[in-house]
Amino acid sequence: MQNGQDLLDANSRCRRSGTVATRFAGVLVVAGMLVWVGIYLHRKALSPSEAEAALNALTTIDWKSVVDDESVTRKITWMGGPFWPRGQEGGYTERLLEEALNVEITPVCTDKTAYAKLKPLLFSGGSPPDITWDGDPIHVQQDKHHGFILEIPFDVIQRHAPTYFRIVTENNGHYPYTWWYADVDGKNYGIPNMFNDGAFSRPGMWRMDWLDNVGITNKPETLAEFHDAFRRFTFDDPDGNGKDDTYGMTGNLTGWYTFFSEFFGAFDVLPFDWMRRGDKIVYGGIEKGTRDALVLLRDWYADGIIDPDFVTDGLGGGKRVIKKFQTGRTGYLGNEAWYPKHFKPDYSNATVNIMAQLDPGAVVEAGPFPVGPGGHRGARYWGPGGNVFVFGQHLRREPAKIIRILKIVEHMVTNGEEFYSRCMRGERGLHFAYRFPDDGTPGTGKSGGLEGLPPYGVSKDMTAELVGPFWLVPGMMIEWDDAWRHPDELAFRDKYNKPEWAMIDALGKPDRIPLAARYMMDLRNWQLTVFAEYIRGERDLDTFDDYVVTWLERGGAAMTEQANEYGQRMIELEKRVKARL
Amino acid sequence: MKYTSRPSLWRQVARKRELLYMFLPCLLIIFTFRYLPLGGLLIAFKDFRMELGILSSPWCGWDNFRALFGSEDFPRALRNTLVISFLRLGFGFCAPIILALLINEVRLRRYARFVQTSTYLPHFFSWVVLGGMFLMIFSQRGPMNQLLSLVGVGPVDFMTNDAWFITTLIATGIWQGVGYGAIIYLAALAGIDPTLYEAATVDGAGRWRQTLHITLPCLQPTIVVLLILALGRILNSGFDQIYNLYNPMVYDCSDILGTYVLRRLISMDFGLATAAGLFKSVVGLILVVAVNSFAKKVSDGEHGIW
Repeated sequence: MQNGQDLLDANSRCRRSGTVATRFAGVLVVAGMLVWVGIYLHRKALSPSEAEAALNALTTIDWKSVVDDESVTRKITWMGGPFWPRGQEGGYTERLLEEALNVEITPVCTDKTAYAKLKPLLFSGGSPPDITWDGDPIHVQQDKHHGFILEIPFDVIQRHAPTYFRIVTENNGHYPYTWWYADVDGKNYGIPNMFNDGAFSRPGMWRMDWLDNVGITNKPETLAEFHDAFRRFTFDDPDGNGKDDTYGMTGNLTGWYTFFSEFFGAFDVLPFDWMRRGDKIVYGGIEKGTRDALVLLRDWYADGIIDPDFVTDGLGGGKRVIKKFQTGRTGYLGNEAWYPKHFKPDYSNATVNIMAQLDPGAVVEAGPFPVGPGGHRGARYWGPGGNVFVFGQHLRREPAKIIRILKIVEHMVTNGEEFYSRCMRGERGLHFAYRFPDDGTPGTGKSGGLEGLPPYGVSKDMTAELVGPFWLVPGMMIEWDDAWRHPDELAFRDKYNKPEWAMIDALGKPDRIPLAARYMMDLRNWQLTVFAEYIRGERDLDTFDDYVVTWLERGGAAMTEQANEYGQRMIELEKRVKARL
Repeated sequence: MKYTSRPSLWRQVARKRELLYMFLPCLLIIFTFRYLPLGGLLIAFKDFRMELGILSSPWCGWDNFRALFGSEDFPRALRNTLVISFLRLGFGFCAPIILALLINEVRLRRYARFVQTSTYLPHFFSWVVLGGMFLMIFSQRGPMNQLLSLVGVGPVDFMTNDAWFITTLIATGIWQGVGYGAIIYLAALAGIDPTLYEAATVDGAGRWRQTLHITLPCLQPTIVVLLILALGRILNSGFDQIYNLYNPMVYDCSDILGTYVLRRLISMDFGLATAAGLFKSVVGLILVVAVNSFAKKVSDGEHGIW
């Protein structure tokens, strides 16, 4: 028995010492591996200067030796604007360009949500498209920062797409923004397109029958007249149903760019944008005019003429704001007067058509922006600078593709309005027809505008054919675009969508400066909260100076300094490009 | 005395190889999707440039963490996340247990099934849809405020007042998740030996006594495991719900880590977003380990995940 116990003890000791030895060895192995991994990771990482040099090498090429043999078929993956989720391989526009320029295009079609996920995946996963749509200048900056895209000097664009270069540069007199969006640190990283609709302002819409019912004969023009109309809409039962169920207006707070913009515009400020004051650039949100507009809105809210749900009505894209107007809850709809969306007779979802069904007595018309105490009127708009098409840096191995793409762009703008229309709107007689084909030449505004033919009258069928602006580079060009519009629409635009009422950010878009990536979104959210509290009277407007100090401390001062530096850069870019014409 | 040594690891592997083959696909999936991506955590310490890749991007030390903790919004987002999560845990954790106990007590099986189905149905609605619905219901002149006005209350700022917004958030969250959460407890209840209840009935115990002394103790291990898992997710406080309901008036109390990280990702600031994600994971891990040890200690090693 004793022997057996000894044997067990010895065995146990042996096992214990074995376990300790095994554990010690294990710890040594793991520690060794960690050290090895650490050294490996340290050696693999580049220093900051090496990283910049490596990225520069990836994103620049020597263009002098690049030629494009036109007999070679170029295969191009094309990720256009994310508004064509139904677009299919072999669509009409794709076939048109393939036949004209000896290319094979593979379209990448998404909606905006899918695009935001797909683009980084394609780039980081090693299969970037050859040409990609970038919505905002901040995206071009990010793409450059990560080394995704090739620099494309003006020389190259001018050599292969001289007409397009000139059109973009002149771009309806609003030239600087367009190239400015493709610029990163003084170098050009893409070809911009144009968004001429952005040059036009969109004022408010009124329930004319309500104005009539409360005894107002003319559309309000001044802030005092707006106030009076809103008061009567709220308290004088404008719909005559005997219930206290109406308001002057509501608001869209989740879109900072639609935040009661016309009332800030009346005080000559854009509360979420950079503004030029003399030779300086300032942030509109901390200007005195912003405070004055907030005082006005606070007083109106206290009067009860702004819908108390204005804070949440804008959630989900602002549809609730429009619905409240359409269903007779509010009598004024700000920043929306756009003919195709709300007034086009043959568009079933146009507000006038929806309201004709809901309330046959309803009469809707656009009206001008309110005039402020200084005689100013207007509201925020994006401007005619559009988006940027960038080229994946993998094309440094086949730069001739970029030249072919430039030739496509040039071809679209040099082969007449007919070819441009075919790219943007499809085949005349198949996809669309001019309303008055014998009454004038297309392009003169006398064609009566364009109407879709069945089944292409429905936008989803058009987009399946990849027919439409923004998927391709040029976007919309005003002189040809007008040929597609109904005379009523052109008359409406002349009357209400005046370009002089459109107020545009001094740098085009507020996030044009690099520091905006770090500070702007957080500050903007905070600013929206503070402004909503001011309007609802939950924060005293005497604290406005404290708000300004906090805004400056939380990154605003650094951004303002950079905005001024970038304002100067924009002027320099303007001079550089002008010198090329 | 006969001494038998434990079979060696390799012998055990050989003996149970069929089971291991069956386990292999799961192991591969977990390794590929759970462990391999851990390498991406390096991004938190790098000035990450996608085209250079994670390894070649230059190191930036603790810069991302400094920027994270130095920003105004991160501490607020962390505070909000903790407050909302603990409130959810406090009020929401018991709700499925209570519902499961109530359903278990219903003798009319058809009615119990109806209640069960109708309570877990909301789980399958997306918050995009539910968000629109609740915004309408809880608006100033919405159905809820109209009901309250009948008894002379309100209108209540459900969506724009901090306290009411959090209350609405917790209540709607419970409504959406209670039925689905009860499924596990109902399964655990079904596994309780019926002879225990029979014996208790013989001893004269009523339904309440049976619930206190049989049902709840039998559910205890399930409750502990689910509580530990819930604490591990404490810094994930329902992003979908908040993102679809929050608005400028309540950013101060509802901007959580999820919405903060989303803003960083939209700006393609992957370094800061990864630093925030790593912080969340470390806190989650510490909580799970701490609560598991605590659970084992108080139950003499009976309860706990490992």
